Amino acid sequence: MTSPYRLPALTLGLASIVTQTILLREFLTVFQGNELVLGILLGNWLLLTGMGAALGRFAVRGRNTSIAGSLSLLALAVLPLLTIVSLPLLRAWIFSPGSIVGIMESLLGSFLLLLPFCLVAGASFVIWTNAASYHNTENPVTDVYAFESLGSVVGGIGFSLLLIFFLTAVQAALLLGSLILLTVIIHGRVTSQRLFIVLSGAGLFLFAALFFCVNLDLALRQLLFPGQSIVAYRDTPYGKLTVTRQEEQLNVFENDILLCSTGDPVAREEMVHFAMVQHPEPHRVLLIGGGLSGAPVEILKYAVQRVDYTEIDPEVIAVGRSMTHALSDPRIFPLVADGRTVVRNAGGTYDVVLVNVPDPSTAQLHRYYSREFAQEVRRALRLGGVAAFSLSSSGEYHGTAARQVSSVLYRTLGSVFARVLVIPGTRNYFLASDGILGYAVTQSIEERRIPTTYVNRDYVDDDQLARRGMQIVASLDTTAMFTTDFNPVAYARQLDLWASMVGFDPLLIVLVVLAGTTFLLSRLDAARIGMFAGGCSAAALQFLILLSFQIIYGYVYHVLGLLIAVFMAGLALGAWWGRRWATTRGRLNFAVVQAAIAGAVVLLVPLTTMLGSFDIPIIPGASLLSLETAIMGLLVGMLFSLASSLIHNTPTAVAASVYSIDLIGSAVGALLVSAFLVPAFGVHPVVYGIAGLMAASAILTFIALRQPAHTARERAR
Amino acid sequence: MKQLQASTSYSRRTFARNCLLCAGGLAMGFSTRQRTDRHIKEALFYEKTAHGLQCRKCPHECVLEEGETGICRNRVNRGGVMYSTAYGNPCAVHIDPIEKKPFFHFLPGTRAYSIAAAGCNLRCLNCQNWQISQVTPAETLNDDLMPDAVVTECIAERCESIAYTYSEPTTFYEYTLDTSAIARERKIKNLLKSSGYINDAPLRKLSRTLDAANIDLKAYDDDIYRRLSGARLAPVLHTLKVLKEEGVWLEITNLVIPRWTDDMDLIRRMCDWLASNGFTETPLHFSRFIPLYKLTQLPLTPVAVLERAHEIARKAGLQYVYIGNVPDHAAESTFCPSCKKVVIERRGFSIRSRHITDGRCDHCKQTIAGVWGT
Repeated sequence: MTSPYRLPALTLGLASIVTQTILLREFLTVFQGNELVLGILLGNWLLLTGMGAALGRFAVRGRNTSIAGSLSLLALAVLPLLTIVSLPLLRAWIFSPGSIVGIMESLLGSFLLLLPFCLVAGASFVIWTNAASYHNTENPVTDVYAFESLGSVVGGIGFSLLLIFFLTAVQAALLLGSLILLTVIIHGRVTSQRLFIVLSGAGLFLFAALFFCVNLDLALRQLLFPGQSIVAYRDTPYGKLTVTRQEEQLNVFENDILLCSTGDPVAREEMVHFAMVQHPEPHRVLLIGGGLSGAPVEILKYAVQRVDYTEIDPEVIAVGRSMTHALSDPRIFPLVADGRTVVRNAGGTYDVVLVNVPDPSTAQLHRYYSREFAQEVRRALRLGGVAAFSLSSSGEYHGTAARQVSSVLYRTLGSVFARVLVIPGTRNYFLASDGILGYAVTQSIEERRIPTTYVNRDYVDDDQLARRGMQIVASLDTTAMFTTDFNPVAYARQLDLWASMVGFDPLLIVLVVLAGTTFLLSRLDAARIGMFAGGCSAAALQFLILLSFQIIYGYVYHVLGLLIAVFMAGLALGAWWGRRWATTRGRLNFAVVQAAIAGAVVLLVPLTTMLGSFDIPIIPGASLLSLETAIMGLLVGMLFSLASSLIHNTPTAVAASVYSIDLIGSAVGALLVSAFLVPAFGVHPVVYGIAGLMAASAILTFIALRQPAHTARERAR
Repeated sequence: MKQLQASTSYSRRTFARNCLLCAGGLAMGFSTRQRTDRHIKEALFYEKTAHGLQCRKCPHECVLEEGETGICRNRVNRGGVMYSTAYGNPCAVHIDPIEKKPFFHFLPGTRAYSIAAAGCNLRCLNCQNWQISQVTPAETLNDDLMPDAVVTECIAERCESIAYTYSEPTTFYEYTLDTSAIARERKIKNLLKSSGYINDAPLRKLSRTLDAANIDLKAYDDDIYRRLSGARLAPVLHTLKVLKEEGVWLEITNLVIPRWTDDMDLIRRMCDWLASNGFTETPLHFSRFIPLYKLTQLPLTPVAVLERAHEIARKAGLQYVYIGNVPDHAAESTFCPSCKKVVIERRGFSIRSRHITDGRCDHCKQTIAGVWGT
């Protein structure tokens, strides 16, 4: 590292990726995230960073900005921790206790909280590019971009392999802050900035004290659960798990959503008995989720021989063992595994499969409601076996949005199983089987002498169950579409239901984004439009790759950093490589790279079809998707270099312009694709749409080839 | 017959259509709703003011300009006349055990023909039936069931009473009023399950045809009322007094929500107010909260908290205190305030044993407040 700006650039990349990954989880927890919220967060992140980059050029004004650079790094060392601390404070003091957060609150809340870090990070890129330009670098923009990307690679891999498994969010932020402070010290020694060395040293001491002496995580967690004592908490790759105690009652929250409470016989009995009584002799049972609610105890009231209970998060089972003795029964076999994988490999093993997962409110959860999953469940059942799915109850009336979700699930299950029965309860249960199903639930409970607290004649009337169940079925839309892995209709309808609950039409956001994009594009030249399209496509494709991975393998968080790192590695390599290409025929190459991006995007369709159709293990599957990610990164990196070379201005101005356009394009892509286009159209049509966008941009560049290279407008920029 | 009055689903086609419409600048005021004039009736209790029509039915007292809809979502100003759009078009029609409402001292063990139309004048964060309470009648799938038909159906189903319930019956006021009047003529009892957020005059008018009411007293704190439900405390307390004055059998429900209404001082103040205002014989139901609608980051109410509230109420002098939503809890049963023995042993919606004759305890002959039937 001979150049004094390369280590800071690398640190900047590392700080951005690690902070982004930590904060995304924290924000998604507090804002109860689905993909719409994720899109808003990513959109805000990229937009603010882009704004920071645009503002950065005003901060430097042609001076050597090594001091400003060190200042920005100092700020970046502190801001992740401050943001993590501010989040629960905002939750506790501003929002209603225990209430879900609306879209506008998510939008404004995340905008305000992300503002300091993102603005500084964006400006820092420009500041270090400016600093680099004083060291006789041939192309400082690309150089800083490449090292920033390299930092992202290091950060992404470090996060995936280390931080996520061993550290909490606060600890990770402290460790990250310490690394940044070390960079400031090293840079300070090279550039003789004694004040920064002293400040960073003091900061390191403070961070070490906070890391080893103060349990900030517990204090912040306690803020979110006043009136309850925190019994246990874990940040796992699958979410934030919290167990609280209030009086004698234990409550288990995952990402701050209540999973279950002890002493709730209604939920656990309905979940188990509605389905179990349908089978004359249930011997083998698979329970996907819900083990902490006491469901295993209810299942054991039947003459079962074996109950496989799957949880993807080992900490849930660990917590379960500490909460209940039920899991220690020799007939219960807790499996730390993806429930869907267990079902796929079961092969006609089970008499009853109880799918106890939350509503399909995220793409991850939707994979337990898709037609492919229903088919896998059917194959996992023995002859006459019963499967139980459920959706939240809508009380005494099935509203329009809820009815659509139910219609999609009912139609989907009906296309796989011979019979589907809807039993209303605290949730609406959808029982599916090729055997006989009926509403005589409490009658069967009595005949089998199953002791229950709630599912019995005192509380449940079989006739009323039948009457209301049939009312629900009669109200369903018989033309509803099936929901499939790559066309998640149920998830889209669930998003509608959520939007109606929070009282917001998501279309408004689409309109605002489209109007802003149209305005922006009308003011850009071909080079910048190409960069915008490249950023947009890259962000969209990254989201689609992550989504596909999630659909096929069931989890994403601990490969999130890895996939982003692979993308960034491609980006760094592409930026370096693109610099060579930029020297001759830059415009033509710019168009060719855009066309290549269009082609690379389309590759995702056969790739995901293949992975979804064949049972390809996770390592080769992830490798293939990583390869696609790396190719995309490589091409976008080249695009960045080429775009930079096509714009003739000072390095600082070029950096500010291209970087911010790239990020704003990414923001638009992330928001539109995650929140609206995938739910509305499914994965593959969106892939084609993105490819079309890139192809159109390539054609625009070809047309622009005929015009003079530097227009007055470009010079003005 | 059910008729689909609206579809707000977000299908691929509607997405594309909405995009096109919005792009064309037509999104403003766009609506796919249909109206059925048969289910519109001129509203009661409103007056003309310089700024529009002012509704006098509930304490919100909305002033509606031409075309505007009130907070309740079903009173509209159309052509200078205020109409209710929730008349004869219930979206929920079920038969429930009367204990489900809950009524524990009014014809126990009987069934209530239960109806609801869309709309509510409150905005409770925990609403169980938000899919009907937070929408207009034009957005729900409705039955066509005029007041006389409700009563006929009730009799045909051999129900002893009609319950106006689920959403907020005082918002479909005219429908409730007309139906209850016909029901009374035909010897059917009328039950109101309500938030009690209604003005004095309309309440007194409705009370003439009501037999029993269960009012949600959400919290004995005006600020919590405002933040949790978008309403105020004082009008609800007034409703309790009026119902008692008008001779309507009254029961009260208090939902104990963690972090909102589970403060024991708050519960103590509520019980003291009830005791000092003559409600000692009014059954009070402490109900367990289950995470619903917008309050999903809260746990269920611990049973111990409900039991403590129960104890506070009993100490304050309230004679009939129950715990709801906790299956198999002893406080589901009715105990004689004098001899402390069980006079109605309940388990869920079942009456296991009954020791009341002519309204008196079989063990000690103490009068047990309520309407017990034969």
